[in-house]
Amino acid sequence: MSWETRGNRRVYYEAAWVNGRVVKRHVPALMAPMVEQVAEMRRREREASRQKIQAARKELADLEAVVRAVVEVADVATRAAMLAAGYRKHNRGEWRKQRGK
Amino acid sequence: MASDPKPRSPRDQAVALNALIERAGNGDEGAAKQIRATLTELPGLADIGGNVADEAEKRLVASYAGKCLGTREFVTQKLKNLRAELGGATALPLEKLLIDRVVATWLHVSYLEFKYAATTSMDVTLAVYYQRAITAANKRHLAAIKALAEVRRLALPAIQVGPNVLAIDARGSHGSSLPAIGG
Repeated sequence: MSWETRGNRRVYYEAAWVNGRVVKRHVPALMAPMVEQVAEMRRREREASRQKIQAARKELADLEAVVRAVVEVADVATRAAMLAAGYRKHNRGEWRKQRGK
Repeated sequence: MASDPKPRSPRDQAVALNALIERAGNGDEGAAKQIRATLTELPGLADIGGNVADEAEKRLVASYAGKCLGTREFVTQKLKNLRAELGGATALPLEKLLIDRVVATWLHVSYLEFKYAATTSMDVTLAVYYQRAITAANKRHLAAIKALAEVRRLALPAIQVGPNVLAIDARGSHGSSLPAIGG
């Protein structure tokens, strides 16, 4: 969506995806201010939505990081205790006691 | 105890221990011996884990309840009950760590599900993101339950936390007397 100069006239074009290509469509001068306003409104809505999504994703990622820390510490402690007690992971699956341990 | 105590951060210690675990997992006997030695030298891993779990719990409860003190009390009480059901009061340090993990992952799943359900209108991209986060959190929760059950089933020697020292001690038949998980 933009104003372009053709000769000594300013012409408003709106762009749209058609069959995977950007196609510009000329907007009649009478309609141009209204179409521009609607386009601007949509752009702001998209921007607000994007910011909202980003904020939510950041919040979720932060919380996940906090939980991951708990999981990792518990995991390290468990694995250390298992190995120290003579257990080994069998085929990356269950823990099995090694013979003679 | 080490003769030359080097000041190392808990994270460095965890990384070092993790490297040893990797080696021991590949059948390196020397690494397994080193783990036993390291466990006696490390500051209490269970303590560190407990602190991390406390922090996580605070963050999750704060996110869950927001400014509503009533909700905060309800959630805190629910976590207390959950810990009691899992035998938190009588659990050994390693089990406590695993119970903390179960509680944290449960709270995370609950928070995500609550948040997802409570949002009246949601962008499709965000909804997909929530769904993935809920699935991943559920997996983590199930893995946490499994780990706790496995440690109890094997009646693993407990990690005993002394004053700033972590050591391995033999355990009796403590595991069988504990309540069942998810009971």
